[in-house]
Amino acid sequence: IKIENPISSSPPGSTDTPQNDIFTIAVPFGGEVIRWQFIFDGTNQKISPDILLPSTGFDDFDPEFDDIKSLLHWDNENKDSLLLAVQETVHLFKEHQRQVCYGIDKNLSSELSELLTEVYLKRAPKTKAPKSLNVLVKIPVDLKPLLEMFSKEISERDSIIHSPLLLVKFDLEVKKAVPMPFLPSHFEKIIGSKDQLNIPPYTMSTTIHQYVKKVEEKLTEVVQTVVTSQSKRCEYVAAFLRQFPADVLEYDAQNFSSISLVFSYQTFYFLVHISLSKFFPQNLPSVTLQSAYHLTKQDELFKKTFTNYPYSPRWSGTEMAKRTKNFILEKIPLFKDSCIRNGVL
Amino acid sequence: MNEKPAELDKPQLQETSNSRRPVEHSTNENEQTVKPVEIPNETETKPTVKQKLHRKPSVTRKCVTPKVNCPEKIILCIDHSAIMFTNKFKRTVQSMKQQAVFQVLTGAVRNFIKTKSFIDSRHQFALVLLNQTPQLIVDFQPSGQQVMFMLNDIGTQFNESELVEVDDETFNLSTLFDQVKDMVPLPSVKHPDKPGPPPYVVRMIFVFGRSSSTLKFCENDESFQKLNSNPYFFCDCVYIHEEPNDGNCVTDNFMQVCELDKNGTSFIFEVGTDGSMSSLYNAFANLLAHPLQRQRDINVNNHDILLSPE
Repeated sequence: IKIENPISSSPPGSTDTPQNDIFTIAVPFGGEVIRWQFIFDGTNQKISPDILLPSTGFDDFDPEFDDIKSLLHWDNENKDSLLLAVQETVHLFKEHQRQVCYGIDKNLSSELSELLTEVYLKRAPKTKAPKSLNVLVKIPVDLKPLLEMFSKEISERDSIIHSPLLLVKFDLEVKKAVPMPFLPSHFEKIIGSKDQLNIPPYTMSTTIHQYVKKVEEKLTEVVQTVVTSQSKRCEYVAAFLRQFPADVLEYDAQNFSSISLVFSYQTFYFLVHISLSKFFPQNLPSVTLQSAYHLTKQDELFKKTFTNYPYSPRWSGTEMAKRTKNFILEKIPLFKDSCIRNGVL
Repeated sequence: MNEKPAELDKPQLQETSNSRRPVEHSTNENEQTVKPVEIPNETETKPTVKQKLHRKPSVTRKCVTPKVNCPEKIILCIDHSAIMFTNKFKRTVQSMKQQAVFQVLTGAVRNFIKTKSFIDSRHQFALVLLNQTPQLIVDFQPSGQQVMFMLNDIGTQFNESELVEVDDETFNLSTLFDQVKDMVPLPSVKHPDKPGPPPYVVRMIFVFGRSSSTLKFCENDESFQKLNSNPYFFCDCVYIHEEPNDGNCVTDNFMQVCELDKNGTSFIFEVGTDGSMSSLYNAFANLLAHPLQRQRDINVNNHDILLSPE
């Protein structure tokens, strides 16, 4: 059972005693949030709380009191009592939902029981027909190599490892499915954003099992790319240092994500700033030319960035340095003219 | 490390390929080579000055520091004497009218600060103005906005008709280095033989513009020695001067400026007002280089992209 966020209590309701002893506990489950009320008795703390479950939309989830062991043997001295009670209730709820799914679609539910997922079924309010099904799956991807590499960038808070989760929302009326990945925050920070993942769309012909496998492969591939990118970027920067040793101004000596150089072309001094992404060499570095003299009319440095030039991720660092130099040579006469025409000294 | 560029092997007077000569910034002609400014006949001292531009072979780097791009704390020590406002660069670019040295310097420093901040926003800038005594105008700040603003302000406020003071005979380097020493603690060196990566480096860029005042340490040079005993301190210089002749101190001053490169890690530039204002911009483009990552011997081919090896 995964509880991602700490349990949040909504503001407590009122009772006939001045103390706060009724809580609403919000538990994230299957992509939705379920709220149960726990009613304590302020006057008698030894009695276990009652759980009030909302009556609508829960398919008559009404667990036997006896099934919730921690309520049966309530120990008000134990700090974890409430947590245990919630955990057990959630567990029962999970089972209950699975059973309901079984009633609807036997295949789906057998898959689900294999995957150890959380499922959450929503029914249309009037007809009680199944409306949508949320399936939340944990994706078993090894993120350790990534964490080792970027340990400095990850704050302590982020380093509590969570596995990536995948939520697939099935719209049972329209028969469509929308996959939504949930990534641990440090992972998302490292790769930039969720959109960089490019997970394949969900087609109704695949089973959940197959789809989860596909997503797992994709995530593993992304981790691989980022891990090897570091050494590739180092090779690229090293090639520039070798080819232009006297022209290098500054470079990122830790992650090799940038390098700046100064050149002159027919006595015109200009700067070259190169920026490499975490997905290098799949993504090509951006090359920015800058005049050593001019500013724009808006008082900014006079620069021009190129993100499209002859490039292949399969070239060696040396080859890339050589080709980048040739590209710059091609573009510099026009850039120089543009500085003189449009730039301000 | 071989310090001498090929030019030194040629006879002294043939200085045509010297890269430090002020260069004409031509926008119309398509020149492949650097065109030198003609040498007036009476300046026999000029070749001597030019010779000092090359690193003396005896000044080798004392210790090797790691090539990390840590943040720099850059102290711009800028000459605020009257001559900075009255001297003008003879050659301008793009049909601009002649500008005073201080104006051109403001532009070059502005580009320098903006570019440094673009490369790494952690770099910090401070401004010290040099009159009779050094005056701290702007203390270290991450963005160079304050520094650029102050330079602009000073430039626009200067009124040539108000100029009455005569510049001092001497500029005292002792007080300058006393001021710099007090500005920021240098990172401590744990292993003198093998210094590790520091949290930051301190770089002083000394811009001096006087041709008729002597540059020297009037009292002791204790602060200077102390600063230079730390491998994370760097002193770069730009000397803006008139044409050297027997009547002025340009040659001696330039020799003194070169002496400030105690550890063999400094960038020293000289810019003549008889040349083009673009040479000051070029000097500051070179100064963009991070002290821990830059190569010392930068004058070999003038960064000419057409000459770099295939």
